[in-house]
Amino acid sequence: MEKFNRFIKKELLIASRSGYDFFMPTIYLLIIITSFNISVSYISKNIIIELVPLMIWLSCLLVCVLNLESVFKEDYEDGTLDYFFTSDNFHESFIIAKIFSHWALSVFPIVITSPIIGFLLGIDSQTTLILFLSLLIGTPAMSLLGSVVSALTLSLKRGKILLSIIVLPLYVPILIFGTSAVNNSFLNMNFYSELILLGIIFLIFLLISPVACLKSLKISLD
Amino acid sequence: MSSLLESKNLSLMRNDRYIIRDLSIEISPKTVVNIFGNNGSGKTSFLKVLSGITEKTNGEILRNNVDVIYVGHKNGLKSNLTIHENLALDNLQDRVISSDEIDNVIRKYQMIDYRDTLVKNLSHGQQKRVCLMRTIIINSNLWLLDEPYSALDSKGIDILNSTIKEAVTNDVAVLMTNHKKIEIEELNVKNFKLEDGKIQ
Repeated sequence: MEKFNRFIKKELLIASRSGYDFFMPTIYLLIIITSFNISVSYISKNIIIELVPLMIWLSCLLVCVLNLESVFKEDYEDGTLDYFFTSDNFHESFIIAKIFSHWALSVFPIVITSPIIGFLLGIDSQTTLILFLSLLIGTPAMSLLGSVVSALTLSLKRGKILLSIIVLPLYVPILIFGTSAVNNSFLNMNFYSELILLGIIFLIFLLISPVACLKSLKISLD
Repeated sequence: MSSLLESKNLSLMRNDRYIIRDLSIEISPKTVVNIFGNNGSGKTSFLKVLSGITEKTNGEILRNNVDVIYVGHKNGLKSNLTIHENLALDNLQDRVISSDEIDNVIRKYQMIDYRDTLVKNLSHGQQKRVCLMRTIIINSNLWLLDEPYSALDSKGIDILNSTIKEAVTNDVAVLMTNHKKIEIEELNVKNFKLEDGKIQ
């Protein structure tokens, strides 16, 4: 656990030195939402309010995809991964720590920002809460799944496009359950089953992804 | 003395071409082995296969209580962290290394003035010295060094040689690759020429 904490501390320290990079996902999210609102400004306000939480979910998904390439990229380029793989002490826990810190630094800010934006755009408090919860469960699942593909495409020169093409269809179930939960909440219908299903998806990826990431990294380094 | 690592008929193929072919080598504690050869002779691939980064095609690698550290062309240091932070937050350490211990190592490598300098602001040679510091701190018993002398000035070469000498006295074995034969004063360096993936 001590090593895990040291890993997280190191990642946070590196992120704190990276300057404005930390704010980029949130700025990107704000730009997408602003663009969306401009493009639908002629539609009835009731329809827009219904669409806003779904649009926020989709925007978060796009931001997640945009960030995925960077999960292992720096470690690959500076030789950290080579160094890790020679050690017997390198285990799946490092992968979890790496994915967790990446999620915490590049996705969690938008998970916090999204309900605030939703609230400002006129979504009711319950839907805002469900939006927050569904993103809180759904985005780590996306990070876990995306990290595997990111590891697999690490050594490719144009990996970013391939990464998006592979990952986006795989995100569809998460998107469906996430948006269904928010939509059901908006319509005052039961949303627990969607949240539970999101939780199950998260747990499945939590078990599978670290092992799959290790294998994928090994392939990329080979 | 039993060997730390032994490779038997080790081969690596890429695109139907042998990168290394039937390489057998035995590395015992307190030994320094230098594999030298031209670019593309398979030196780096050999080290990567031995270290476990690259999967071998054929052959056998026997390990005997060996804790390997590989220092390759890429240094594995975080450019936005200082020397001290890079060493203190090393992820693979089982033990927590005290700040004083790290400072002593930095001082020993004559870089205490750069203790709080970001790695990205150091020269290539200085970064190599930081890699050496990490190698010392990690306490592994087999060092795999890929072209450790490249980009080092005479002072850096002296520091590297004395580091290797000290490591060897502490039962460490060193396997390195270079473009030419290496001789280190007071040490018996075993030099092997690698050509087209085979030891000549």
